[in-house]
Amino acid sequence: MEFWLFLQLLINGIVVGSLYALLGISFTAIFAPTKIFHFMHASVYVFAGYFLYQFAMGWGWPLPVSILGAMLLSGVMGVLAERVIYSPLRRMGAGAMEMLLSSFGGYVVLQNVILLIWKSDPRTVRIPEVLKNGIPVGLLTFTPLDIMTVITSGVALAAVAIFMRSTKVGKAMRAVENDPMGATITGIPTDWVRLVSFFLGSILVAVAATFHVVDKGLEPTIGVNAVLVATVAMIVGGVGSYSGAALAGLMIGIAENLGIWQISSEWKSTISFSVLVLFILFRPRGFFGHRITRYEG
Amino acid sequence: MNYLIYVISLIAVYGILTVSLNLSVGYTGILSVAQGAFMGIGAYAAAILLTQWGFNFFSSLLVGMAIAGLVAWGLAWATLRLKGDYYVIASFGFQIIIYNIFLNWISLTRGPFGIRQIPPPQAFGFTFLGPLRYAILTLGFLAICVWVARRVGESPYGKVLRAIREDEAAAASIGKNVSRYKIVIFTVSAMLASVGGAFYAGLITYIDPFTFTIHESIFILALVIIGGSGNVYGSVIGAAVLISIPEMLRFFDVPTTVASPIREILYGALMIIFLRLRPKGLLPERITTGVRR
Amino acid sequence: MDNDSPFFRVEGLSKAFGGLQAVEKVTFRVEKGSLTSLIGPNGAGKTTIFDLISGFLTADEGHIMFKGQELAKQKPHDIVTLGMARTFQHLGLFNQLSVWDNIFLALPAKRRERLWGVFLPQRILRKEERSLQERTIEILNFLGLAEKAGERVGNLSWGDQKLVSIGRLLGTDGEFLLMDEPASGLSDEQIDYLKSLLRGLISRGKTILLIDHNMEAIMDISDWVIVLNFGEIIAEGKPAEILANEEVIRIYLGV
Repeated sequence: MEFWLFLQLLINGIVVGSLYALLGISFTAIFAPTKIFHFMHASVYVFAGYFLYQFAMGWGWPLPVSILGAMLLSGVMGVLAERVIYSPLRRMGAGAMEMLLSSFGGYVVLQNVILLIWKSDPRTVRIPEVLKNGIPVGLLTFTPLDIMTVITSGVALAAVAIFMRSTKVGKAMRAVENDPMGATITGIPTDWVRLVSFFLGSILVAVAATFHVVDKGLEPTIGVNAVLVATVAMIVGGVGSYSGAALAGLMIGIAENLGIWQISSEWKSTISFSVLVLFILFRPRGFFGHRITRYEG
Repeated sequence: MNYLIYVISLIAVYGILTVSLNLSVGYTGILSVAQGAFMGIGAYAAAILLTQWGFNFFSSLLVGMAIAGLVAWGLAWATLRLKGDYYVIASFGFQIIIYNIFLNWISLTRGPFGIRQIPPPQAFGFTFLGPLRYAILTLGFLAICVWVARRVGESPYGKVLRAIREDEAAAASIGKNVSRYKIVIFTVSAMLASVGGAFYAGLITYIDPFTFTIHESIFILALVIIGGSGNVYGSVIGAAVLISIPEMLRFFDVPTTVASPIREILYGALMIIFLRLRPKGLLPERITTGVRR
Repeated sequence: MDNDSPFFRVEGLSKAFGGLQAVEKVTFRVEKGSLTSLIGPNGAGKTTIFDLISGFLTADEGHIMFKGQELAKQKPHDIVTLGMARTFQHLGLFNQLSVWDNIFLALPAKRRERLWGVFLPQRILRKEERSLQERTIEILNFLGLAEKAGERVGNLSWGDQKLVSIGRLLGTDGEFLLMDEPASGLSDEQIDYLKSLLRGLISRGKTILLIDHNMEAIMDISDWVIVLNFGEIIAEGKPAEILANEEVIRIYLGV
């Protein structure tokens, strides 16, 4: 097949992949320190889109303000999920199963709140036309929006890396992730750390949602897919590894797009999830993570 | 009156689905979010075989069970070694893959257009035409499922399942092949779900992929939790409560675009509330002491 | 005692977790009909050895021979069928089930391991059931738990739960019993009872390997003592020899 087609698909894959990388990082930020499979992350993703829509299109706020507002509210939603749903269960001594089930329940409730308020029609958020104009470079095309997507993801990953390594809070998060008992004993306020990780993961996912919405539009159903990609990226990259999740997300995006060349596009998500299932079966620790099968035969 | 009978059939269908999931989630502690997929396999098997191949309802029931069973066996064998959270993720991925197959394998399933005009079941020249006969047939199968689940639950086999739920390593230490138990019960659970799916198809007479999503899996999970995890009668009652209450909303002329989300919010909220305040569900599990003198 | 095929033998057993060598080239034997104790400071690798022997962990290298069979790659439930059973430090009892069930379920019974066995009519199962019930009653009586048979295990005192864990162990009908800290959390009186219980099992032909920290009890009932430190065996011998061993004394007093 043509070299240029391959390159174009590769570029498309990198653009999509950087969003997937963001999703993977956002989910890792929550799962790694708290070990909670936060399915409601899907709700935060969708709500971020609807917040953006409501601010920018419904109330006519300037776009940057709307985006920041959506990010902030999403962060708050994440924190509320921890405070209202997970924390009380943990204090009751509930196990992972109860947390997960409640997360599902919360997702269902929030999903339908969206349906009640905004109905199920697809929405769009308008951005300056120029951002979506294709720039031809030889036989390739990409848009300024594409470039912004990739750069933002890169910046986000770098910011998270710096945050984790250099700030007190970031280091506390990593301590809790590696050794929750030890962290508590050495006086790290684990409750606080949890809130921070939910806040961080939620604003990151809001950024990803923003790019999705301005590019592809907004519908109530986009949340599940996002959480699935986030999960795949996190697992394939190795739980606990931010760079792993980012790398995996990138690879999934590229694989999906190159895959279109041979397989028709409806099967795109099947590809990612098959990748997930294969990894889980044969290399559950992903690229960089730790072993996760229990030792009992 | 016909509407009431229809609701009863619907309750029976979801009763079967809930009892099926209770076997793996309630008794054994296997948290699966793939029940919607297995329901779909049974529904599509029935729909395709009945409309395109002229199969009998009951034989297509068996085919659906065979397919669901085979697929479940493979999935379980491959994934049940994994620790709890990771197992759920695999189950999740599987549900999505199956949904995508329903949606995209258009030559087989007609994709988003769905399959219409599914004919009523027939056996020995007798047609289960009409709501009342269908309701009786479905209730009959529900009774069989309940009987099976109770027999399993009250037997030593069922107690080993509870033991596995509580501490897998300990169960292995008394000689139980934990993997085999889990694979077997998961497969049976999937097969019963496919039965529920087939009856669903026969009741609504029209199916499309959008019914058999992760949302459906979560709904059935909610029914198990609310009805009482580990209690078969609780499963039936949970289904009865959660299906009939929203249907009653229809009587108050609430439009579907509002009624449907409200129903979902109801069960989502109930699931959260029950997990917090009454984790045992409406009917708690009763495990007999088994003492003999 | 036949030196050519010992009852139980471990050779060159090693296991590392990440960078930590938990068990290092451990080699020892257990004679049939003996009560052998494995002692050592916390973190010495004792429970890891139990996990390796009983199939819950896979060794990096080494052999585990039980009645002539290599155990290194076997699954825990298969090892139980061969005749070896273990308890856990945390007991791992089925708290929602009754005392009766905890013991009853441990008994080997091939037919009810299969799902279709659930649907067999009572008549066919009656004979097998009756012998299982008799065995359960026997174990309950042996341990003095008969009155509490119907109680939920989760409601019992620690001491009674300990007895149930031993009951479960006996239920498996194993000849070689591994006990992980059987004396922990027990009163002096209960420990005396435990000591006579264990010697009673030996006189009934069982072989026991146990881990514990209660030195007095260990030295009193053991035929053989193995001392572990940092994953290696540093001494083994009869109780009196171990008590007099300088290195052992140093390790325990130094800690």
